[in-house]
Amino acid sequence: MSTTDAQRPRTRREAKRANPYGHVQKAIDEIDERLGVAKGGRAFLDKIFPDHWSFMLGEIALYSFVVLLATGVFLSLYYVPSQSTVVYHGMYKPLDGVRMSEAYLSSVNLSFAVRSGLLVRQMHHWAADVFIGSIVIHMARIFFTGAFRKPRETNWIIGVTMLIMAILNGFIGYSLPDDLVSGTGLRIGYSILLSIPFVGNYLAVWLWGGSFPGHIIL
Amino acid sequence: MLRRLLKNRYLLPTAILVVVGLGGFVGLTTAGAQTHPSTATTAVPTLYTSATTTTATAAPSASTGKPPSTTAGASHGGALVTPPGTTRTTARTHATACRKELERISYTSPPNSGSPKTSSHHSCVNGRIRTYGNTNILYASPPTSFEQAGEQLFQQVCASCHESDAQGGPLAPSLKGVGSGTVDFWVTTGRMPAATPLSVQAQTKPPKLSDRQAAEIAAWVTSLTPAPPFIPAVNTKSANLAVGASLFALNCAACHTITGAGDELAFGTNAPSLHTATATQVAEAIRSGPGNMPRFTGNLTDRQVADVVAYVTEKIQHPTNSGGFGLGGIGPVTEGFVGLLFGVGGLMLVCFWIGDRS
Amino acid sequence: MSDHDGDVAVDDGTRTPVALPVARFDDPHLQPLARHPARTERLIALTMLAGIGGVVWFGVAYVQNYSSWVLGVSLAVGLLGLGFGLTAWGKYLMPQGPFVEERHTLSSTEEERTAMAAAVTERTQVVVKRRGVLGGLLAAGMGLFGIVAIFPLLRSLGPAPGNLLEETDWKKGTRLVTITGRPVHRDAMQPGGIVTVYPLGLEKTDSGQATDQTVLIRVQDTDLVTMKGREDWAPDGYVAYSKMCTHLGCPVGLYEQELELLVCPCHQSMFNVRDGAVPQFGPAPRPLPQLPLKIDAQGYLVARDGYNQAVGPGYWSRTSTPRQNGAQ
Repeated sequence: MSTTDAQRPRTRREAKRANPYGHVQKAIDEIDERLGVAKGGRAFLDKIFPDHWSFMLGEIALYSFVVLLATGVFLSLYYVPSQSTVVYHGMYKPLDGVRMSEAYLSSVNLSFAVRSGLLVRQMHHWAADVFIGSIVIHMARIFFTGAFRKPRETNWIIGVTMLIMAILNGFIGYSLPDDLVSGTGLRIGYSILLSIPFVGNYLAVWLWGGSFPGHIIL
Repeated sequence: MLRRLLKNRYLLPTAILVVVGLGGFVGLTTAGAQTHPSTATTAVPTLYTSATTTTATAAPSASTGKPPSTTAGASHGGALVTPPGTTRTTARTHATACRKELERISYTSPPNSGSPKTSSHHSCVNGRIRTYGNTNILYASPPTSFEQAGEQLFQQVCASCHESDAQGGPLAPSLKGVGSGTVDFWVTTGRMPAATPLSVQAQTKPPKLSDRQAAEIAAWVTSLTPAPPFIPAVNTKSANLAVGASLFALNCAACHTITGAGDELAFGTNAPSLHTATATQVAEAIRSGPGNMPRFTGNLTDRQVADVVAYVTEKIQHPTNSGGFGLGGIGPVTEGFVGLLFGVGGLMLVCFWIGDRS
Repeated sequence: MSDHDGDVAVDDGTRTPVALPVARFDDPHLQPLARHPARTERLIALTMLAGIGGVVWFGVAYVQNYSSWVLGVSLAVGLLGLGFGLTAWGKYLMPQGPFVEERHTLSSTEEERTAMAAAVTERTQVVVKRRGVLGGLLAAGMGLFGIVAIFPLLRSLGPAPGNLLEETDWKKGTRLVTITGRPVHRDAMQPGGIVTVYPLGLEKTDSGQATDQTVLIRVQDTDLVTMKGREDWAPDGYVAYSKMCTHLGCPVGLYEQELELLVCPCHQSMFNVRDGAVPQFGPAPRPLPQLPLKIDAQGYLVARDGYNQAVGPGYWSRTSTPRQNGAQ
């Protein structure tokens, strides 16, 4: 919007009439002069997203991941990744006097001693289930609508990689509390590593710091 | 109104969700659950200890820790009671008979591990061992007065497969020397009388005979060849739940699962759910090893068995479930089903609402 | 002030998609979907109020330490209320469109691509054609550095496995004890019983429970010979096998006494106890290693020798033939 000297507004009201966005214009000017974002920013704001419901399946995955991150941060503040043996003397009476790992003790504490700990644990658990399920459904939608074709092959590769990492993360996640499911899963993970040709036993022993269960894996 | 409902685009997906969800959900969470009402209680011994009051058996309460007072001929802390008016010679014969009987029915075993000879105390009446055990578990055999009714019942109900002298035949094994606790277990859980005699595993079903009738049959069968285990009365008051939990995880959880929900095993056999078992039945199963279940004898003391029984009747059958509905305690399969169908499916319905159709 | 202004849509009733206009409130594309926007707005406001109530309730429940399900329900009410309100606002009260966005082609023009190809070719030629020797030396050096740089990383991972996976703590004469530390006497078990045993003194240790865990079973047959060469390995009907499944290492604790089968709970490998734990079903590739037993002078069960092969799942360098007894 260019004005000649003769047309420059004299009063504030005239200025407002000339440029109805004046109150925002100044801010935009400052930012654009430093970052150059006015043109791209407008294109970004004008972006259209498809309205069909099947395009929102990826968002289910996205937001369940956000929930996982938020609840996961909370849980990580109380979780103790240690396999050393301790004896439980806490709020949950049936386990009183039972020898367990510190990791399991911290999980039990999260459930019973930390306020809203059980709720956060449950949210984390169900968000993880929904996460993997929605990734698969989203992947199915991409496949059956052919949205993986050129020019989106890289996108597909990235997505499949994310699926594999999500599954791996889920496995690691449920191995953390060190209960029966966790321990069995870790044992099987150790054995699967062992089965890799040539380097299997090296990999397994290095990752676990010795024979199973070791004391470093958690 | 109905037409408007049918025109609604959310109706079909919601209906599918509800029907599949509820159906599968109900199916999964009740899988393996036994539904027969069990009327047996730990008060079983009181049904007939009154008939043997002269034995002065100590009821399994924590207060009386010492064995009852003995008369002539007691050994190993056992109570040998002779009816009043007997002579000394008769008493000595009784004592010898009791000692012989004790030797005969016991198996060598560490102390207090379910064998009469090595239990803290036992009692003997008329040359027959009536009870043995300690403050944790008291094993008692049904009174001899039950035997006549028991024989009648046996001939009516059991003899068709087990033969009239319980020696067994082509359809069923011999019952000689199985112990009254074993018989009581099979009958009170409804497995006997068996629906299909030669199946790989007798199916649990609502018990056909009452607990009293079961005790009567047990009395008669055990009178043929007395043997342990007798019917246990378990004292769970002073049990250690933590020890019970550890032992359960080590010995029982492999087949019955860590939540006691039961599991399918090899070749058509299954480990049943523990949710409807009484304390007596659990102890009987542990000590007698019914069917494919191993028999846990010398390596579990009565104290440890009482701990496991307490754990089963308290924590397994009444789980804390602080997080809400336990989904049957089965684990990842149910949770995946619920998470995917209700979680992802429900969210997909929301997407359906947000988005457009075309 | 150009082509992005968008056309003002003439209301011709067909509502063909248009580009996003700048701001003209009489445009039918900008009208809300709801037929009665005011009423919808009130409904949405109510939903959001319920959401606010839920969130406040959550705060109160947290401070007052109510039970977990109250926390959950309140948070659910709060977030669902706010979420549904926001979504309904977007769906029913926002401009309904449909809008279209012009999309430019992703790829660059022909000239730009040709120029890029030329740039790539010319700049690599500087190395390859003109200073080939230097380029080659550099590549060799960087490659070598990359390989050598991994050495400290590899070494820091720890010592090589060596014999670690081959050995257990079972030696000749090791007494079998249960989890409570009590040695197993020959009279301790009736036929049909099973117990998990460990080497004496190691029942509470990690290695004892993980690698040395062994199941001791008493079968009905007191003269059991599992296979040739193991005639004296099973005294009195006691037979002992490694508890680690040869498939993936789960503890094989599931014993069916009538079928005389050891079943692994993980993938249902079934081992026949009678003939040396040979797998009858399932993914296990090898029988469970058998621990030779003997009864000592006091009547307690001891190991006649260690395991003659590595226990647990297999790996590439596992010796496939059983070792001679006594050789570790």
